[in-house]
Amino acid sequence: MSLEPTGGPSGLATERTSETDGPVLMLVDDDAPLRRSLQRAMERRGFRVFQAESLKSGISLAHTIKPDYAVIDLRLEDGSGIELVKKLRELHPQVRVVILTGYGNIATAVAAVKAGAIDYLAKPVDADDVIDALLATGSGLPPPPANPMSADRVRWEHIQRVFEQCNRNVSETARRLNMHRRTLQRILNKRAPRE
Amino acid sequence: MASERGMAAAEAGATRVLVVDDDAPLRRSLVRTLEREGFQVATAGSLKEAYDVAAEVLPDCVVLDLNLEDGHGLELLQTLKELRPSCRVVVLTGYDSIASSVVALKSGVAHYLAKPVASEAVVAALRGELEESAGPIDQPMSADRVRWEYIQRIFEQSNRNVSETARRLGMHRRTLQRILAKRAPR
Repeated sequence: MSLEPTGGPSGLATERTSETDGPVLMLVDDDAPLRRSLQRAMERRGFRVFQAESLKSGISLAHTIKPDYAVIDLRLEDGSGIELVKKLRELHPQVRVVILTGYGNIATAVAAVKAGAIDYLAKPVDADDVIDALLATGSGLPPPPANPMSADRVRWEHIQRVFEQCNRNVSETARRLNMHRRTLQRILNKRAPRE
Repeated sequence: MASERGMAAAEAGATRVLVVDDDAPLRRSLVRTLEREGFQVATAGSLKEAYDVAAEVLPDCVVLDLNLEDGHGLELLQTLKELRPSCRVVVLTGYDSIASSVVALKSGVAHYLAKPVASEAVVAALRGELEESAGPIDQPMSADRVRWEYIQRIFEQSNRNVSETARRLGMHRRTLQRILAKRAPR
């Protein structure tokens, strides 16, 4: 995938995770495995990725690099990703920000876009969806993915993610997803629906 | 003119609001509240009617339903902005989804409200006084909601074309149609 040319490198090498000349992407999420996998995927596509895991470290990172793009989790341990969107847009008016979340609702989507985010993606997302969202122009959404996951698969992935977040505790997962424990158990015992 | 309340005698200085919704009882209740608040109110129950009334009234602001019998509310947006560039549009929809809210806001809508909503919130949104409350975000979406939001996003990305969305998701067209006709699972 070709990426549009962007501004020069930030010059700061301290947190550089890649040495190419691609656009600078700031990635803020407190989910370390997701951050790592997204980082790898985005670097393969030519982005130079800088990471932070909290609102506080995100804000300090925003002062030291000049990101072209940012991917920010809505719910950071020490605050709302929307605060970071505002701060980032203040410091770097050109930055294109996408919010990522497993805790989405309409009110936060509205708040995120009003704060200057260009899109709001519910997890699970794959790197192609993120890139399409970051590069989308105009007022609409990016075109639909070429090979979208099935709706049932997305539902299943979400359940699995919450299950992992609950340290594979079935009762806790059922409570957080507001499902019957037995319904959840049945789902967890089955294999994944087709992608 | 089909609107229940066409333009009353022009009250100097009153803010002109157009309420576009195909739910007549809701329309009436909004009209009552808005008039009490000093707005000059016109209404339309369909997209077609909305074009006519808007051209006549040149509204300062609009309460806009999205799923109208004869089309999608956002189709009206460009006309409204041409008639009155400063026109402030507040979406009020029973078919709220994250994808549709992102599209609406990026298209220039001032606020996006999900039904049911208190009339006071509509008034505040029209006046630009509605506090941005992101609400609690400590609960993950339900599994059904995630599935539903995903379908809505592909639907919006397919320009609200049902057949194309069904094809992309590998679903039966009629199954999808049933899902789209319903409101979001909580």
